[in-house]
Amino acid sequence: MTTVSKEALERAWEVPPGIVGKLRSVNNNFTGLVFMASTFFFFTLSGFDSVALRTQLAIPENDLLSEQTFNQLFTTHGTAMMFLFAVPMLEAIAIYALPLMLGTRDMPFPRMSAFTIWTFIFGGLLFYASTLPDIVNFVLPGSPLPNLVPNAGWFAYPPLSDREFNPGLNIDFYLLGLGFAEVAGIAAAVEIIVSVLKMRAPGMSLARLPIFAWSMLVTAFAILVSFPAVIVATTYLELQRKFGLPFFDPERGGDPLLWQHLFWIFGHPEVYIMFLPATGLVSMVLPALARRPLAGYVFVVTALVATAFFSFGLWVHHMFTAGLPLALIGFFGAASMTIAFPSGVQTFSWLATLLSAPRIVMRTPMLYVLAFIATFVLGGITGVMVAAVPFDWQTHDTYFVVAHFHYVLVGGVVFPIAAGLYYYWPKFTGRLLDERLGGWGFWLVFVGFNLCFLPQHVAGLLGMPRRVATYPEEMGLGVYNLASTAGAYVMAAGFLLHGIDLVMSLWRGRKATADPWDAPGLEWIVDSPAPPYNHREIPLVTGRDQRASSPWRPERTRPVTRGPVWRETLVTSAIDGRVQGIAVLSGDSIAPFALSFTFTVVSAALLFELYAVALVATLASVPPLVRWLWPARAERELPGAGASLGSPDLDAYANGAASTSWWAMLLTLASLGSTHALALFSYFYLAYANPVAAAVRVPSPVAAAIAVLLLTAAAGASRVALSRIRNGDRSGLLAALGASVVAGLAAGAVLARDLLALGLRPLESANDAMFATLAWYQVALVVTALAVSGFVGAQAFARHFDERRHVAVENVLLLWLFVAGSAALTVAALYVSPHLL
Amino acid sequence: MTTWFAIAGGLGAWTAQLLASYAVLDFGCTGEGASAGALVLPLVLISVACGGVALAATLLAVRRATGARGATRGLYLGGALLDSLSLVTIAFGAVLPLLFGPCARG
Repeated sequence: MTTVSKEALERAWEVPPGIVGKLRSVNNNFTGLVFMASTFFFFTLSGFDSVALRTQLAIPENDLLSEQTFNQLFTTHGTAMMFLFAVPMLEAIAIYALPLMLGTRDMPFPRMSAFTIWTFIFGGLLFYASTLPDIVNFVLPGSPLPNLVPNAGWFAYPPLSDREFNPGLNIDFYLLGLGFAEVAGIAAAVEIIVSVLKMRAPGMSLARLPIFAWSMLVTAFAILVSFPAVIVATTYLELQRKFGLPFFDPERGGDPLLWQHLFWIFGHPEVYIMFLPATGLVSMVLPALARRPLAGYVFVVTALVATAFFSFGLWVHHMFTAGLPLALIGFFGAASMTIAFPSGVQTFSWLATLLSAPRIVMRTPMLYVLAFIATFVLGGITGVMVAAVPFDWQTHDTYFVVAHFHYVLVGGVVFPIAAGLYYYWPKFTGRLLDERLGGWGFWLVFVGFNLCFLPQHVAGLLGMPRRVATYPEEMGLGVYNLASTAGAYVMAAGFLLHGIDLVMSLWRGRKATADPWDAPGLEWIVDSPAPPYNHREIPLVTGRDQRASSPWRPERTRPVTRGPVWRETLVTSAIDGRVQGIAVLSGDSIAPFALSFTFTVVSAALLFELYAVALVATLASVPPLVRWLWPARAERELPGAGASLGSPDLDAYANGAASTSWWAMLLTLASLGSTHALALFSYFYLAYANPVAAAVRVPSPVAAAIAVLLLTAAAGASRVALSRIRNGDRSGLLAALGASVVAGLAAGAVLARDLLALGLRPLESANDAMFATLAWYQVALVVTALAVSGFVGAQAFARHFDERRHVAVENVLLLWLFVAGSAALTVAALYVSPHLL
Repeated sequence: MTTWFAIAGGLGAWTAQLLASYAVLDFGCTGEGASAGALVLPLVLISVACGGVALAATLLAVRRATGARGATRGLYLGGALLDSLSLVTIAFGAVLPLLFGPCARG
């Protein structure tokens, strides 16, 4: 029962007016739309790249573009489509739609969402800023500006991407852009997992979860595990380029194949990170327009999990021609074929739903869904073909592979995104799209797509290599390329028509009702466009078809203290959706925008070696960071919390597994754990598996073991701190936190001193470089834990915690446990394993 | 614990086979004094052990699904699917070193 008026709820949740108000807004409906609009922008830029590429290839021996420009275009096209469009667009849809689907009011960490989105936008703009000198040079020929556009492909294999062959800042722009996209991606993944697991409507058990939410949950876990691989890889490459550490230089014990391993440990799951949410969208659109529930819900969920899991065992299939042992690549070939099974399960589920449909509503979203099924099946079949090692050897680096992955990525990702956008547009904007324009756009895109990419299979089989700016006329490939280019233009015209449709609908589209598709799902029980609080009354879910849901009523109520109307919603249990408490969400703040901005300035300044600017920007980031993390008195005491939820007798200060913050910490540490595991993999790969690696250093483990013991003591002290505050003993909390800081400081000092005394030569030996990087990363983790402990200590001193409110102390304990555990692994790898292996 | 084994035991076994076989092949085929013949036995043992675990998980999941209803039944059916898929992949991976010889290169 809502005890506050609709107007009061609207005032609490509305987006503040004016430009500054928009920059301060953290409401998911607003930030989700900003995220979508920015990914559209990058999609458009990347689309221009592809049209330019196809124009160059239209006829043999064309000299419209130079080889260098061609390299740059296919690099920006691939990078932007992968990092600035596909994954972010799906995350943007999730940020907008998940709270609606889950029956909650917002994502759990709205400021984190806003930070993610601004970071993504600044990162994308910084990446594309590399093209500005080229544009100036084009307008003013002969200007002295350097060429800065990334030019080594979206995979940036060394040695091509190393400073020797790429001395400019081109690759640094690429690495920086990737870094931004990865940070944003991981933050969004944490947010999505916590949303799906902890912020569902009461009664929505995992077995009643909408398939899109399942797909986002699975995908977000895949992001947490896989994205760190590219963070590790890009860190190594930047360290090699900037400081000369030889991770990928075989002459000094490095190995360029290490980059390929790390990149594809990320890169292959990345395909499924795009594909799985896209299938989730299809599984929402198709049953709604086929007027029947999805056939085989359990099998589809199982297929999602299986696909995500197996996607981590496929990375070597991008390296079949790299000279690895046949049996090894055989394992990955087998896994590559196995993954066709779960994809097939999903396909049969969609077909079964269609075949048993009482009536199919043949509108634009359904057209795209049908096109997706047909195209993806073709792309999947060619995928099984290239999973066969001998076939791959023949077609590797030919246009056959280009055709294959465009069938998978355009057919399997872009088509479902188009279906999802046409389906959810009325909910996003409150306006209906024009079916006639939508239909025309669809047919142009579909025909253009097939005209563009179908001939590329043939061209590839006839020997057309990838990544070449032109080809001789005698190869006889002109007709296939001309058809491809014509198809690209037709497809571009289709997308243009869709763009016109979207803009026109905002201008003069018919107003949409709450449920224009007569679809099941909680997103359709609220007005279109969705109000800023999404669900005024939190629904009580009683089945998979959620149209029958009734408003949730608290079992017991309690008098609520007078206070403001908070942005609040319910927290539920992860498995069965039982109500556990109230989550009061953070309000609007300029801090996320300001932090993203300073983060960008620091990165750009470091790129151009403007260290003073970087220092100033770092200092400038402190006030917004403190504002973000240091709640005001009212935000701590939360007078009036629960009023907009019917004043339930529930706690607004959840701790432990009932707290969203605890889950976010756990997931962040899981991602850091993945980073650590990949760094250890890299160390062992160079130290033991590579026969030309430099001799492994055999240091004494005594000092490092003492550091591990000290870190364990720090974790123990933070455990004591937690038990003290649970008993309401604030001075005991402060003393124990102080002890953990002292122990952590001592551990960091011991580790650092030992490292300095080892006499490592990271510029001369890849093994030493790996040793130093891993060990100093461990020291950085200790410093981070110290900073967090110090901050929480300051909060404890300011009386932020008591026996009911202490989740931050629990998070400190998790952090110290992680640091102690990771240090034990690092020490075992660096200091103990050389004595054993 | 048994529930988790029934649901994810196969995936765990496949992961173990992949990682262990990867380590054996990468270390065994490139280290000093590498002998391809000596690698066959460990590879077969790894595959048999992992296949056994996946098979046990599949059988357990099927057995539990038979007696269950509703969401629980779905959970075990899903587990049985995952386990059996893992078993097939483990079998694929087991045959390949025998066909090619562990250290043959393309």
